[in-house]
Amino acid sequence: MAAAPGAFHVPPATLVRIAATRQRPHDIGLLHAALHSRRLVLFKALLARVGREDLPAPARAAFDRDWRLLERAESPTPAAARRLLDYPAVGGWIVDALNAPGPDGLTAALHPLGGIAVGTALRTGARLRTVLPTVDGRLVLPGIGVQDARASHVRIRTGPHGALLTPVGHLGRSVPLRPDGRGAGAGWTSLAVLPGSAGRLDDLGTGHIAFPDVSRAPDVQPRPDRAAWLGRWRAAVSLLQAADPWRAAEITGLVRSVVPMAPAGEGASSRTLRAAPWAVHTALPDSARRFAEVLVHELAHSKLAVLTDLVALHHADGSAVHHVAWREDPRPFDGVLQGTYAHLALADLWSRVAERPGAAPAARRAARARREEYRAQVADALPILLNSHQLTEHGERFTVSMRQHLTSLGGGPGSPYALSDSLSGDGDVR
Amino acid sequence: MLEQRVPGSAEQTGGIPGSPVLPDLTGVDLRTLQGLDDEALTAAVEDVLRCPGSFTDSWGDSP
Repeated sequence: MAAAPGAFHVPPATLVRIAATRQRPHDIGLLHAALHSRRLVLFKALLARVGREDLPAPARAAFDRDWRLLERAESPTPAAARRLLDYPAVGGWIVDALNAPGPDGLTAALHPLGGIAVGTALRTGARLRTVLPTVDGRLVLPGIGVQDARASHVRIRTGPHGALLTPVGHLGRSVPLRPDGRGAGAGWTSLAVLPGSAGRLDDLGTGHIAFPDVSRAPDVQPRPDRAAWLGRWRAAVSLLQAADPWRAAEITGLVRSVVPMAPAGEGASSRTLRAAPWAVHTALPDSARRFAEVLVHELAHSKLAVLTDLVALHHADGSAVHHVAWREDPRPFDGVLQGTYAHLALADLWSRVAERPGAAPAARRAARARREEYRAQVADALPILLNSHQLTEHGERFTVSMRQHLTSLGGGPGSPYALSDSLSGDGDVR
Repeated sequence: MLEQRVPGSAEQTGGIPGSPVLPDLTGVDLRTLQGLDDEALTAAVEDVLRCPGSFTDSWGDSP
């Protein structure tokens, strides 16, 4: 009989460090463990829903087959499997399935499970022999790539040396995949590696999840300009490495995917989904500087989303809303907390840019102005949180720590609140 | 991580307001998960099934 699961404990020092936006490796280890546990809870919830739903017999049989495949795929090295099971799009897919309406909706939403099993087997070297159906002739391996099989089914063999995907009836379109997911062959497209990281540009429509509160859903038609995305990512990371190596390492170490979204006009241009931490959903930022800000901003949302799975920071029910400096629409309490934290991370970033040795005077002035903009936004929002009587003891500690970190960032001479944005479009901050 | 584990309980309050505690499932594989019948895990699963829409929450502040 398996041992009963324990419960997490978040040390106060961890809470303080995360609040100051600069955690230590074992703090991140705790967040990774929490994310994985949440992912397993979602899988277990999916098993429960499938068990209770009156699915058509073929759909139930397909789910049982794919779940067994997934178990076998994980079994050689569960630790290696986590890399795929915890991939952001997998979380998004489970939540899509949990929210799918009725038996028909659930049946349609269960398709990706077989592809997740194959992707997991690539990570672990498990031996699988199976045949999976395609959707519109495509086989999607989340986090890895897409095969345009032009067939209704694909025969799959996996093992320690990779995988072979053979469209049934189209031997000439067989695709061998290496264990790292790279492959060659007609119809195969791998997700691109985000340079300098283990993350992926999830630009093939495999990482997309509907955002119910966004009027225009993320869209991948026409397909994003991959070279433009990768070039801007590279420039953004270079900018961060020059200004703040710690933050650059955090970004390249934690961001698992960048998911292109269609521009949303006046609306939000970047997003983080609770079910898919470490994914940055964004329209293509118009400069390296802007991309760097998006990455820092969205990663802060991810960290706080995972942390709040571990400890309750407040007990607000969302009925009250508050005005904040960074949005025209009033925000629920949780949105104020999330936004305050993300903007504190940006104030921290620009403080590092402003105070780094060797910065040219004009760039230093511009960076200080940017820092002051974000500092002012955070300073305006903190009293909403601190005077709310909605914070838990943990939340109080977290928020006070945010305030202390804000104070430590300093105001600089003159505190120029003018919203100067004189950095060049290509991200040159020298 | 393991040294930080303490016994779980479905009565504890978890991270999301009103939610049960998130159990620490470190070291639990999928086959074990399917058969695992634990009070804290069951409470967490039922909480998800009660309100799966809460997991579509997202934050979209423009920087």
